[in-house]
Amino acid sequence: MALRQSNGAPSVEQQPRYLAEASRRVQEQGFYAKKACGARDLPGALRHSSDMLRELRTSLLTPRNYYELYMKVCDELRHLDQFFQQLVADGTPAADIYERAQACGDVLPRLYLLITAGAVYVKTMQAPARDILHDLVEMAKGVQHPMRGLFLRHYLAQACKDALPDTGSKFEGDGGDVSHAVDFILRNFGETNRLWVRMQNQGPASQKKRREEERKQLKILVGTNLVRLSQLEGVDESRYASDVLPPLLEQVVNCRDAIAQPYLLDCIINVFPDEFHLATLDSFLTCCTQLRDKVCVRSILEAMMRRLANGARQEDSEVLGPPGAFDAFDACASRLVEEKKEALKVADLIQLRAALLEFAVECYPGELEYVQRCLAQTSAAIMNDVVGDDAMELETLLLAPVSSQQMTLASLLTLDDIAPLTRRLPIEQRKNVARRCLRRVLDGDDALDSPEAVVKLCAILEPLLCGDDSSMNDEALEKEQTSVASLAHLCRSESTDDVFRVLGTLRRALGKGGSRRTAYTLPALAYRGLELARVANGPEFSARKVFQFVHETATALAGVAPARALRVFLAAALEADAQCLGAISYEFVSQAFILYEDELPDSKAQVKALRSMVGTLLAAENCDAADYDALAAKATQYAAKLFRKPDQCRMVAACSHLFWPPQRVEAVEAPPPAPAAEDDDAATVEDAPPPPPAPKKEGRKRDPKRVLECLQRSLKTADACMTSAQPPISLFVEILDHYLAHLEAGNPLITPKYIAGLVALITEHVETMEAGEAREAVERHYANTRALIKARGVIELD
Amino acid sequence: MASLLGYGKSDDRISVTFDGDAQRPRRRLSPNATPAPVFAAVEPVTGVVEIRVPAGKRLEHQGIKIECVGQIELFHDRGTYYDFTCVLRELDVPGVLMGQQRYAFDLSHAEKPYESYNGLNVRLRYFVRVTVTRGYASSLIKEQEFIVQVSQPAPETNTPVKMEVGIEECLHIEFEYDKSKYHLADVVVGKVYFLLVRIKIKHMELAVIRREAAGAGPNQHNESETITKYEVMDGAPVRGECVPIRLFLRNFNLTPTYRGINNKFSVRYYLNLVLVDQEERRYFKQQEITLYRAAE
Amino acid sequence: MAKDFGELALVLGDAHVPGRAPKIPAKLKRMLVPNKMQHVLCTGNMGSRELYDELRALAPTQHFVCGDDDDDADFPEETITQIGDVKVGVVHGHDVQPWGDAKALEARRRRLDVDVLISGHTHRAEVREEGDYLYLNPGTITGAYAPASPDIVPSFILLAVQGPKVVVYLYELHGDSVDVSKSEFTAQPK
Repeated sequence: MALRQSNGAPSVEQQPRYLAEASRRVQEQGFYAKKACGARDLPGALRHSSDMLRELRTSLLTPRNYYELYMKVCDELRHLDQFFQQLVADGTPAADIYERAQACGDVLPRLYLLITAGAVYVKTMQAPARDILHDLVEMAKGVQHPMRGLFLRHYLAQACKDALPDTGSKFEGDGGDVSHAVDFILRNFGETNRLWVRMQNQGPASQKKRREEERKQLKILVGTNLVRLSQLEGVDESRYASDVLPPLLEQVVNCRDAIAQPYLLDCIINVFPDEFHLATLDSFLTCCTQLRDKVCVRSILEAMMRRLANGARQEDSEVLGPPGAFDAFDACASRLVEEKKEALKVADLIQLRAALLEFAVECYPGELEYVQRCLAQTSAAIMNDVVGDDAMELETLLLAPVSSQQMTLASLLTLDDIAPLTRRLPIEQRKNVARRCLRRVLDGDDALDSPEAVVKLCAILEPLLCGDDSSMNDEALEKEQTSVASLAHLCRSESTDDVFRVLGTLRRALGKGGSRRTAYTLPALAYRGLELARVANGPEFSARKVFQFVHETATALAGVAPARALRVFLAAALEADAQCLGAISYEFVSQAFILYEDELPDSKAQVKALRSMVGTLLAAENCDAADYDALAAKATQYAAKLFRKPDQCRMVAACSHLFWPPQRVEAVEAPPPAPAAEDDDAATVEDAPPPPPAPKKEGRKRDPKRVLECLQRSLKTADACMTSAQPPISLFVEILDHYLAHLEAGNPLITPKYIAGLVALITEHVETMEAGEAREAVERHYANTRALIKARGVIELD
Repeated sequence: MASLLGYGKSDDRISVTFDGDAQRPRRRLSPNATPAPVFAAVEPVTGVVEIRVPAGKRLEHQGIKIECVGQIELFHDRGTYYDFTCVLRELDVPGVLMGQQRYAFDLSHAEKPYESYNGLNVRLRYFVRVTVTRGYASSLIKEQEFIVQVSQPAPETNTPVKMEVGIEECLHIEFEYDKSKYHLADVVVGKVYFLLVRIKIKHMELAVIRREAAGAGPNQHNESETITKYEVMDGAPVRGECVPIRLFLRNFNLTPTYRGINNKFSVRYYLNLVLVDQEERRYFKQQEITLYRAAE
Repeated sequence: MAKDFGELALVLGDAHVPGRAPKIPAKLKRMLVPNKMQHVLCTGNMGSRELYDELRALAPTQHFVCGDDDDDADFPEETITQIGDVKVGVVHGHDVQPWGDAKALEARRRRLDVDVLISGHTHRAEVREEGDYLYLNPGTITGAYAPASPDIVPSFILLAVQGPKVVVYLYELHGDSVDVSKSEFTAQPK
């Protein structure tokens, strides 16, 4: 027999030794017991089994090691169980065995034997199951030592799990009914739980932590009973509501234990089906308000809500949440807040609301009122700015609605408390909420169709829209503002007037962002404006008004990102040209040219800009002839003044096409209808330069001479480059291509004579080139061009 | 058992056979004794005495008699026997015996009011004694022991034992046994309520105690014997706990309660509820129970 | 899958996010699955760094060129790559004057000496075979605004190249449906 330590906790160092010794004795006695069973020696079997079971009387083992020993003993007891069954099968009355099993003088081994015999007794059906079960569960009270009792009762639950008079089982009828099965498990559960709770108060206070740890290791022994209850066939919704849950909850409340309460409620949530929970939600929630202050009620509510939410989701129903459940949770939360005001920290409070909010968002996507209620309650509870944990919880709370997939833009904007609550947060968290909100709005792709909506949305997004951005690196800022700018594309409505108003409102909100932000946001607003200009037809805002908006926006952008602004002006010019708003178009191009002259940072940007300018001019089919001439000349001048000679050469050659613009077929036959109030153009565009010469509705003219001049100038520049270390022979081939293009386009001044001259020149130059990649590339290009010349029969080639 | 005085010496030429011997249950009172036939109080003691004289020899005697004796022996009062019953029958007049001789006897007049008992300080026994008296030599004597059991009807009143005991501010319990009178194969069923527990209880046990009082007056010897210790609780209960008790009496070698047997001795039984705390201090309460022999 | 189709190349460009469009439409985005393609050919003007990063994750090799709107990107003006037996050139197209002009593109193709010339900028998808050569324009994957061009649809191209054979799949998003048109081209041996 193991020694009992008088008090204090088991020594940790000696654990392996204690366990090994006890295990050895269990094995030894188990062996003799098994042998006695084999010899059909009942007294011997009982005696050796008792000796084996005495090992379980030890106080020396920690719960973990005791569990190991217990498992070994259980293994051995299986032989005894079989032996008992065999004896009964051979005619020994089960009652006799049941009595003989009780002869052992020590209570713990005696009860293990009794339980083993009792389970056999029930299974032989020689006595009503309910009586035996009742006797067992009562007798087990003889072990009041918490840990030993816990294991004993676990053994009881295990041994009898197939011996309950459940509905549909063979023990039903004379053996009782499911109510007896429920009663048995509930009693055993109650006793188990009491023992478990009692562990807390044993031993010195200094070991409280360790005891808590040990208790947690043992909790499964308590929870097993609840699992058994949930497995009973005969426990249906109504029985659960009337006979099962009330005593369980009573036990939970009355045990007044801060470890047991959350664990048991969590077990209840997990082991019983959703419909049971729905039918009894009120009692469950009432129980939640009666727990110890230390218990984290929020996480219990959360678990229940999550459980119901999951169930609802699986059922794929229209309204996901069960009707009334939200109100029940809400009422419970309010009661908790009311009753435990002192015990609740702000963080807890927010967490509680956050859980509720998440539940509302997930399960009641249509019920905005729920979300509003949660937010309003949170608002009311937070008096000051929050930091640390509180802030974290508040952030989580706010993220639930703003990042919910179900949240439409319109719904989001009805949540008036979001913006003020967000302002309680530290800046980084505010930004995070704003970012998630923005992401949701963009993903949702709902139209921003009223200025009020913009104002509301921008109130939430405020930390992204303005304020100090010096701490952000370029990449992060770009990412953030890319999203912000995308809002411009959500400005949609049937009414173009509305879109214009919305854009204007957004423009005002984004305009406060400072230069780094507006570099991203203004282009989007401007381009969205151009799209609008194409279709604007409202009674209030015409295309001109919209172009004016674009002009303002691009002008603002010019101070921030001139190259970008320049492209906006050019795009605007083309758009206006397409609508035959010649003056406006001219104004936009002029602005681009001004920017070109004054603002571009380097020659690379100039080349790029100039390409766009040339391309735009060529595409501006409706441009007034005089305006066009002036602009084409100007562009060619710019080209000739580029810093690098090869750039000059290429761009001047490109400009040659400006003087041979593609001809609009209809332009020759009938000039486009003159838009009304053409003369007012200038007045509608702010800061416009003096109005251009009165437009004559004439198509763009072709000027063969200027074409030739450009080409020759380009050639001359290329020639000038020949003195450099690596003469750019490729330039000549490129120029040759331009000659050929103009020749094909029918320019009378471009004659094969020029082609022949160039071909001779290039052939000569190529031969002088050093071998290498550059030469190969030129040769391939040249060969392709020659092939064309040959194919077209332009000139005779060698 | 042989007497120091030669008295009660068994001579193997004489044998005693009770009627119905084959069917009669046999018991032993002490572990080392030979099992003896059991008689009920009202059963007549009848049988046959057989005397064998070896072939070719003859046994001359002054008469043959048989006695039925009920005797109480107090160990501390050595040498003193109290015969509370003694019935004598002549079996034969003086003469000579040869070969085998059988005598039927009937001792049904002998009263057997008490049960056979073998205690620590006292013994109550029954035997028949056959005496062949010889003139020239000591008599031939044969004693044959038998056991008497007295069955009693179930008591008309049998109230439960209920009691509230405690040490102020320290321990307060209430216990209950379902009956005050038990037959020998009975089960003690009871429970213990813990009303107040301020001591660190380690375990609780129920002991069955036999108390024997032998002799009278200054010569009385009291002796207590713990028949069994039966642990009924492991660990410390808290207030409000109720721990069940169930004790099967048949597992122990008990006798009925004897009160003032022939004014010579008594045997009483007690249930002792003992609580042991972690310092091995024992808190107990004894409660007498009456045991009786129920009719088979 | 790669074996059946040969080498797969995704061709796209002119997303202009966020300037002219908020994002790649979900229906098209769903088709841009990583590890299905070997090449990404991008005509530029994706708009944001983020989008370029997403493209990089799609295939082991990428060929990006610089669009007029790629102010900060360090991409070349043009790039030439060999896929199967086919030589492919990629340019953005804003420097092809006039924009989208067939003759100008042809001149550019001659200069690059490629079988397939990919250009963008016009926001109008094009698959055109002319004189043994293939001219591709993936259009704009976001359906981004382009001045004076109504009715722009989001589009991109997928090339399956096996030896000299190129199968061109043009994906266009019309309303809610993705239309696919397929054409084949074989590069002529030199």
